[in-house]
Amino acid sequence: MKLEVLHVSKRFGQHLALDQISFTLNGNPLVALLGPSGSGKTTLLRVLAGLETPDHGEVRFDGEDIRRLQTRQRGIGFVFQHYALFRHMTISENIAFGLEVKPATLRPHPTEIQRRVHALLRLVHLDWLADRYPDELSGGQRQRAALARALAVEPRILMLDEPFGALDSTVRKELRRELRRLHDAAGITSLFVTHDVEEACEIADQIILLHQGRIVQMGTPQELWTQPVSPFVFRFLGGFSLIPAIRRNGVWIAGDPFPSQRQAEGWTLAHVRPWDLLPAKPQENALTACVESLQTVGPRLRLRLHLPNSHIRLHAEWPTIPGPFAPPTPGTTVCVRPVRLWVFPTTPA
Amino acid sequence: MRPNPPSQSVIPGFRPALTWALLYQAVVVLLPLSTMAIMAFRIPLAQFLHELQSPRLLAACRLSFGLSTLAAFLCTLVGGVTAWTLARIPFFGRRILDAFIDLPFALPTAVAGLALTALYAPQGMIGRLLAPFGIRVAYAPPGILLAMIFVSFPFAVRTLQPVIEEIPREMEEAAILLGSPPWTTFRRVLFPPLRPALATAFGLSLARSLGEYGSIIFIAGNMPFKTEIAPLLIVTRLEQYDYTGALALAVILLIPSFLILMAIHRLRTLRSL
Amino acid sequence: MTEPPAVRRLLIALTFFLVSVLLLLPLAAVLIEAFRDGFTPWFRAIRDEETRQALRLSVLLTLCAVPLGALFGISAAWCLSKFQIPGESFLHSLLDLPLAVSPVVIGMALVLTWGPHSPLGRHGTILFAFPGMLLAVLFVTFPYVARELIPVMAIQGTEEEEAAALSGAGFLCILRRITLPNAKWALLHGLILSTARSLGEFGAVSVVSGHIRGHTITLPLLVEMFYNEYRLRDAFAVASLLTLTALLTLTAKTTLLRLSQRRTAALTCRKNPL
Repeated sequence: MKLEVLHVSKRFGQHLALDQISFTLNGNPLVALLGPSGSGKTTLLRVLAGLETPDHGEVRFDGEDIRRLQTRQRGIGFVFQHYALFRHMTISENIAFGLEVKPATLRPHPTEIQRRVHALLRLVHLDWLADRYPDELSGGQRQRAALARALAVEPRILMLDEPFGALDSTVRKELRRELRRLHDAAGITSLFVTHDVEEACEIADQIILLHQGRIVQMGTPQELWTQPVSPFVFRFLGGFSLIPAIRRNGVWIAGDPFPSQRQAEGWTLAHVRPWDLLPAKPQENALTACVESLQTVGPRLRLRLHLPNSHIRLHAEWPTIPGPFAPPTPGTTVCVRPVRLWVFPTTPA
Repeated sequence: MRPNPPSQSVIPGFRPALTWALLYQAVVVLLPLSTMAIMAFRIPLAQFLHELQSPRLLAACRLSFGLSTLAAFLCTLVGGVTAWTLARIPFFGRRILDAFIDLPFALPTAVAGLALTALYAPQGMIGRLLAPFGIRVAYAPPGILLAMIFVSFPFAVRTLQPVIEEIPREMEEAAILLGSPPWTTFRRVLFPPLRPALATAFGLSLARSLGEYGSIIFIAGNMPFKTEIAPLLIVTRLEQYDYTGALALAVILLIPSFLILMAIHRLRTLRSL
Repeated sequence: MTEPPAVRRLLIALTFFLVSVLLLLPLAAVLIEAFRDGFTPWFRAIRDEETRQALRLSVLLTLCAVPLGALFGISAAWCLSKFQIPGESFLHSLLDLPLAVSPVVIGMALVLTWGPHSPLGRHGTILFAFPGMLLAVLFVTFPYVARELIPVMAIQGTEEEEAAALSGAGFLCILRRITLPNAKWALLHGLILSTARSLGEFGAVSVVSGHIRGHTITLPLLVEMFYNEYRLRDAFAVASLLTLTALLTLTAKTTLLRLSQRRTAALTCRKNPL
């Protein structure tokens, strides 16, 4: 289906929650609405679902303004952050609800409803819990039940508000893959809200990154990592350090922390990822840094460094494979070389 | 986290507090109640049964139980509508209306009785309008019903209002997004969780209506066999030093009160599970 | 909110109608009747010797009953919310008792216990005198403070009290400096409720008072007495006085609710009707 969002703005009192949001989705992608808390991602999802009315702009499903459609015709499956299962109904009653409340002409026969409920329960691996009440289920099971309920009405678009927010990390990872599987099985557009970069990158086809009510970048996870449009995008995706850099022959290379007058024009602080700051032999384009501390985390060695006689601190992450360098100890100095530097037009120093 | 038992707690003051609370409760509440219970048990069964057959007592009980059941039903209905509106619909004047809900509690029942009588007596402000149609409110059962609804109204509203307010908004939105029309949403999603609260409201209203005395004696007219309620008959018998008769009637009034208390208690523990 | 606009308007209209007819009209009726002949007769009725005696008795009863009830409420709430004790749920139910039992039956229990025929009442004048009436008021008001305090004190948990006890504070010190300041809105609310009930109690007090003119007549009983003697103007004057205290109670309650919501202290102010 085609989802068009045109210049949507929404204000809550003094707070501008959404500021001129526009984007279009085609085909049936799995899309993550990513952003820090307060960036407007949940508000955007609620506007798309018709739960909030935007102050300006419109939302179109397959070319039709959703305000012209009745809730039922919109074809939205929505999974709430805390699932919002009906507490007085069993799991199968919850799933059947959306089918039972259809107008008589569209409502499937009761045996057909039962069949579909069972099929959905099997799909989310909950068939053995059909007659339990939501209160008797674990968080992950409730999440699956809510998914099944949202899918029961055969929606055109599935929306999930922080679907894994209330779950512990093991269940989270398992359900992520589950969501990907269900999305592929249902063959519909899905949108989910998250503040977790890893989650978004792992399962989404497309990421819409929001900040202060605006879309700062939209693209595949790969595009966000390789072509961040602003320091915000770069910083939001993962760890980084700021490193002095100078421009030489049109490329940025690591430079002296204290530029002389002559060099100042081509001098800046560049962003560098920890895993791009590799051990090196003393040479040009390498920096000497003191080791403050280091930890081994699985296959990685994490180092906190600082440049001598300055306040510039660096984070580096090296693989712990045996190499030409002996692991450093705190207090000693090492030589590091940034293999890739990111310089944005307006990097704040 | 649950608090510790007193023997394991570092918090002081359990003994003096418990001693004072129990002493107070013993003298003020348990002593009179147990005296009454002992005296009730001392009445020979034959005499007790004989008392129960008194036509005046039967008439008073029929009136009290019939009207208070009806009053509790109406009160739950009317209180439910009011609580729903106050809890969910924003409108001009809501805060003021909300504050006035507690009026029947703050207003002494004698004043309420006097006021209702002034309004609904045949010469009263409303009674005058109803009289030409042959409708008698004061000095007749409808007046008693009105007084009962008046005094139990805040109980019904205040029992239901917080429960209605706490219906999660997400649950309602989920139903709407699943395509449920408003009336179905109410009937199948919003209403069922309210049932325990409705039962509590009904029970509290029933207990309050059954026991109410102050406001009713003004408006009832107090004609034996016609508009004499059970609590009034207790007072009459006490004034005649007919303690056996009064006790028999008190037992009949107490049984439903205790049953209601137990039912409400059970509903409360069920809900907290 | 799902209600269609038409349903909303209907509900609002219905609520306005119900509250006006059921609650506001009687309130207006008392005030209109009381001041129908102007201020002078009203003033005369208020300054009547019998009214003044009744007022004095009502105030005295309230002044005795409310502090005693508050002390009980605080102690009971302390035991039930800061400790885990057996029979907790039974004690909770006991607090609902005066709500479910007819005040007349309460009065009768007192008559049977303290009356001239009982072993306890034989020696002194308890019934048909001030002590009996006080006992009646204590009975009907005993749950109010406790019922307000318990939920608030239970939600606040025991950590602050434990911290205070570990730093060496005694019972009264913890109560005065930690627990009650945390629960002050609930306490105030409970006090307002029990004051209102003490001033207005009719059924239980009526049974134990004996209706001795000038001695055991409280304001609500005076309303009935005047009414029975066909002194309607005086009855309404006294009733209007009580109505004013009721309005004062409502104002205090609403103000308290607003203040406590601002301070996010008490959650239950509105949840318990009494």
